[in-house]
Amino acid sequence: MVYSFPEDVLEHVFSFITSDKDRNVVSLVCKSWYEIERWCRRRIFVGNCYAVSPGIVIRRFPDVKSVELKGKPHFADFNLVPDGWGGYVYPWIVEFSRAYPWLEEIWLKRMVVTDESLELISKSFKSFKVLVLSSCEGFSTDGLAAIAANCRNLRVLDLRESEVEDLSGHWLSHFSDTFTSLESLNIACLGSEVSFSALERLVARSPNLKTLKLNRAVPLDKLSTLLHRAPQLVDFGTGAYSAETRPDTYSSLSEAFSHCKELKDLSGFWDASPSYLPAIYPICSRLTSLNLSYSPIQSPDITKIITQCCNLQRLLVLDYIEDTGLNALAMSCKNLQELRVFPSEPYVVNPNVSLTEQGLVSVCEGCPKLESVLFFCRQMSNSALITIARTRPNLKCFRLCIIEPQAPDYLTFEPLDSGFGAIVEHCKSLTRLSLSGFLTDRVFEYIGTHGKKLKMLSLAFAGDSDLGLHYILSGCESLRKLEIRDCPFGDKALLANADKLETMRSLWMSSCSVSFGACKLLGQKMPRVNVEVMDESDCLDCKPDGCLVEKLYVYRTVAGPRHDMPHFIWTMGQDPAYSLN
Amino acid sequence: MELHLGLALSSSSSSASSCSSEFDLINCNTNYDHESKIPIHHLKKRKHDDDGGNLHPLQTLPLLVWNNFCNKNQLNEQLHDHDEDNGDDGEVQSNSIFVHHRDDAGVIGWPPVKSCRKKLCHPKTSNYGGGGGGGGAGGGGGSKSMYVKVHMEGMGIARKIDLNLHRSYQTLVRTLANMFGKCYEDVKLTYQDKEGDWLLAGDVPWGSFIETIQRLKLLRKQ
Repeated sequence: MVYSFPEDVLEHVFSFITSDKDRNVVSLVCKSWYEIERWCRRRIFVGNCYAVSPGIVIRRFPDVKSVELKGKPHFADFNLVPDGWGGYVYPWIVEFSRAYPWLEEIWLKRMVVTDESLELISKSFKSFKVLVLSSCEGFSTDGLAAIAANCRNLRVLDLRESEVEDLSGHWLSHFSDTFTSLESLNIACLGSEVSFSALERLVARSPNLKTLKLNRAVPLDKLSTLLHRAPQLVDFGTGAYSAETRPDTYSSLSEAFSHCKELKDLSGFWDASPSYLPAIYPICSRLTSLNLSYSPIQSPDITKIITQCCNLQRLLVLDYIEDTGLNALAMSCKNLQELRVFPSEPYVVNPNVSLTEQGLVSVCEGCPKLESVLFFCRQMSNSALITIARTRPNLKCFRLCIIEPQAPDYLTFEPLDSGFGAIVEHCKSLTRLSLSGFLTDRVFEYIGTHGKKLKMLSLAFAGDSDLGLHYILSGCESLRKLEIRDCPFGDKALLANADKLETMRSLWMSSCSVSFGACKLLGQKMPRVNVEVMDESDCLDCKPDGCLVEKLYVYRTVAGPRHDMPHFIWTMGQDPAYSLN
Repeated sequence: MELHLGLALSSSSSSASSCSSEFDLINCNTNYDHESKIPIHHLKKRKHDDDGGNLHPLQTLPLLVWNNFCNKNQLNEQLHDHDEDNGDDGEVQSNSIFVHHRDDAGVIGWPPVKSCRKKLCHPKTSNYGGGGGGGGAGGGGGSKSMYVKVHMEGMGIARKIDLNLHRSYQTLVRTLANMFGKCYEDVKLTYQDKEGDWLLAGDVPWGSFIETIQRLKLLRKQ
């Protein structure tokens, strides 16, 4: 006999289940659980905005408080996705405004957000609290003014790395004088100056403000004023961190920093001059996250800071840190979990920066909790990679970018197959991997064999043949996102593993060897997958099947082919009526 | 370790796709030289023009065996020897060969750095010592050579040239044109600077050009 709990008991139990994955599993147990779950799911995550339509989401989940949407493919960050591709949020906002009047949070990544969308958000949701726009574009400071003016209960306004058309800094003044609920403000990506007095008054009347990330235009001598207004800050991003060296400016800044007893995260430091760096020394030991990647400071100054940050968990820095700085990091920061080293001069062939694979090996050997690495360098060896793999098997994310395409092991001139092979073999919880350097199909055999937990894989200038792609698609069971550029992968592997594509979020292939004919076939065989090619021709049917596709984006969807494509994107293999734009 | 070529053709999911049987992976070219175990890098020539035809057969050009050409120092020594042989006829011969997948130099979107990072303007610090700031290599024998890669539009194979053997744009263009078998009047010279931007050569004084230049590309004059 089946005993069932009353619905409200089940609903109460489900309220403790917050992960999407778990909620999805719960909804599959039986029909009544599906029904109860869908009525009480408050947070929706859509990893690809074209995988589903607003209507479908709303029909299933009638009472939602938070929505997260992601738009463009990741390679859009590197200018590989042409303008006009898509990812428009407006149609979603229109439908949400009708269906979810009590929506509180909108999180967007790589989407096109217009001022119109922002205005609609600001007017449609009376309890709106959180707006996070990550790497978005399409809006101006006018849209921000609408948010400031109308969202009376706003807690979070975070514009991380978005591209904003900067019409004026006045938008900030649109927050009313009675607006006091702000908890997080990130305007680091804005170019123009906001009115400082408006900013100061806003900070002064926001007792719950925990995160404040300023833009470059806020001068150093104004920082102490702001910090005194918000000593409760946990996360602070400076503006341009340089000024004429003046003792009074220095001492007031140093004092202001010392008063912030909760400060754990520092960033900003544009144009930093070494003379003001010691102002942060007193708080270094409390820091868990430090972002110096916008700062031109050199290795000795970086090292002085790092050696005082014994609790550091996350460090973002430029290659100015050099091997000496990385050695210091390895010795001083035993709690380090994430390291990102960016190139100061990505286009310079031989920069005068002494950063090599040895620095990375040091950190991997010295920091037992390290699990996430993003590292740009100019040389790598299999032996270094093997050492990293053996000493740091707890790595979850390993993204290595050797700047010269197809650079081999600089000691032996061999491909880096065995090095990366060791990484996937030893790091059993690896979920994200980016490869670079000279690589043959062999590395893909290793990845297919060992990379069972791999969710995201990025490849460039690697491999010899379709076999490489076949190894990945047939071996990597957990694969969700695969992005490939300039690899000799073609039709055979793609078509032989067509079914795999329905188990993944998306596949990007550009400058590979996939033909139009194969794309058409793939589109025909897989109705629940959109096969989108990018091509400037007027008539795609006139293109011979053997012609190669320059850019291909394939993703699973329950919403059918999309209808908002620009003239240069075509959905392949669909009914001719659909393929017309 | 030998590669296994006898692969199962059906995909791993439960419903085997009918199209998979049409594609025979056993005939995939693995391009391994089994005797010497040296992986040979293959160049796939991709034509951008549509010649109304069929998929081009794979053109395999074993152009580069990494053992011999990758060490920049070794390379410069070889080239240095050649230069000495040339005496003083003013012409520079470069025998190095590097292979790229694309016709154009300066690959788009590489290295993968977000534009918000590229916009950062780093002031020149004293880290950059004297001499050419750009593509200078260590070089052998203590001479100051400054090799940069040169692409010719429409040609897949890049060359290298020592910029320190030149003092003016004129000799540079003539030498480069000659290297690719063109007349100097039929080409125009472009270069990529430290910020990743491509510019027409000749606008800035030679000294500034040398400090910032990273790669060269010759375009056909239309």
